Amino acid sequence: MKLSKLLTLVVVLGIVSFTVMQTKPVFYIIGDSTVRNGDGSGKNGQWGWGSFMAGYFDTTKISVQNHAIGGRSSRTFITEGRWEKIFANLKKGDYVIMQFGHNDASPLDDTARARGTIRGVGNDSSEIYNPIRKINETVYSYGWYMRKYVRETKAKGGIPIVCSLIPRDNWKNGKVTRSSDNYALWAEQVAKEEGAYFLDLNKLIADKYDEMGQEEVKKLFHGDHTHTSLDGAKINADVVIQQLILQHPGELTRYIIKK
Amino acid sequence: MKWIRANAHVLRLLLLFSVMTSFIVLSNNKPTIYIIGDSTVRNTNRPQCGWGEMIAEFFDSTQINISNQAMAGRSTRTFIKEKRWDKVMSTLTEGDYVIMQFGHNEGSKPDTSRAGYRGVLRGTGDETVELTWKDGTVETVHTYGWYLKKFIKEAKSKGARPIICSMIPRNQFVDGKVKRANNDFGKWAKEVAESEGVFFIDLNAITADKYDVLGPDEVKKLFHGDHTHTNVDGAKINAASVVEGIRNLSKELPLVTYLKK
Repeated sequence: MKLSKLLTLVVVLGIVSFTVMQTKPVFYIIGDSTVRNGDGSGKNGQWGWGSFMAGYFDTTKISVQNHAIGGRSSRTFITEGRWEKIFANLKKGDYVIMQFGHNDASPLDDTARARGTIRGVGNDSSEIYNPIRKINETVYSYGWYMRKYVRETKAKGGIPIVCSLIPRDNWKNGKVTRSSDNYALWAEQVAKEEGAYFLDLNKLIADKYDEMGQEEVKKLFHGDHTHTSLDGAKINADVVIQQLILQHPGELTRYIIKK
Repeated sequence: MKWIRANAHVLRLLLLFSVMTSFIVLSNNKPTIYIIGDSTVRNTNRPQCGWGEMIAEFFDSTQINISNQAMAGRSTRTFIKEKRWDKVMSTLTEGDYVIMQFGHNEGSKPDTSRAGYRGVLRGTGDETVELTWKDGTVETVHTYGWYLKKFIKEAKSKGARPIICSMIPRNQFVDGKVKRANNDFGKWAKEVAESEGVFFIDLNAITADKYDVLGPDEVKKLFHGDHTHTNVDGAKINAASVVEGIRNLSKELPLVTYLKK
């Protein structure tokens, strides 16, 4: 082949692959340590369900990006600028799946994390001094932050998918403790009111845990009662994918690969 | 009255104009998707439900109509014999679509027994069998493929676009994988679509891929009463699979433009 022909081919291929990259939808995952633990490689024995999402998708057709990060609440994921970065790149036809709640019950303005949110879905706010960021900050409710993700995703033509938080390994009278009167309920309220897809991971996984029993479920956690092990994260990921197949947001199921 | 008589000419023109415009409006009427098939497509026996009942929500109803003519228990053969296809043909017009899914009720050996009244010959060939019923009427039974070709040819003759779906899988797992129809009715549906040059949605494969991911415990929740009939959740998944198939054909099939954005 002549050099000029080869060069043309390279240029054409480059343009084609660039176009493909540009048009490929993105499946963004945002959340806390139960979605991505540490760097997501499980080296401390703890895993988040988001780490297994890419394995379900044909990544030549959809890009799967797990931006979840340990320790963050619905509020600090925003105040650290993490959402802003995603929002800047978000385009029509992208998906944003979100799960927050594990870190939202903390104090609003303590010197350790300052990550708490106001309970509920209201529009009330609280003016605080954030001792970590060393600035005055207006803190809103869990529902307010969740609404922000949903609305801004929609504003860009994206498809928001709200998850209730996965249950912890906490038991009472042989039943796993549910969050159906707090964060799980609030997540559902936001999803319903804003017209987002809702994956009730709290209920669906709690149902599974109840059936398995406390002894078996213990193996699905590592180190504490919040963080899932490899097996725990995989079970949670299975529930997520099952719900996505059932609810088929947008064109997402086109990209799910066969097992 | 005097005014009417004086303006009779204008009124006559007005009348003519209104008749003409209404005709134009009528002929510009939105197209219809006719759906024909069996109980996995339409099943009013709740909690069972067919995917044809759940597909409307995917389409923009201001742009396109959906007419689900599928009937539980019918094979390609009995759907025709009972004049159900004639009924579709009587209103089918240019620009319409016919989505067909058969296969669940074709399997019995065709004869005049209770079991054989709906069975067809296997495959896509031209072979036939003659049945003589008690009352003396003679029925010629054809292959599954022959009946599909009949639907296709006749739909095309009206200027409609036929779309063949392979049948949805049953809740039958072998070694953790759902049983596929790619050696019989699914395969034949595909062969007919290819030989006739019409659109094919491999509904059996699209759905089986999902069922494999869901696994037997979850798939069980999508059926009611037996391993063939889906419930509302199952019907929704399968409707979504049909829509996925339509999207996969988007390059050649204008039907995709009628999907809700």
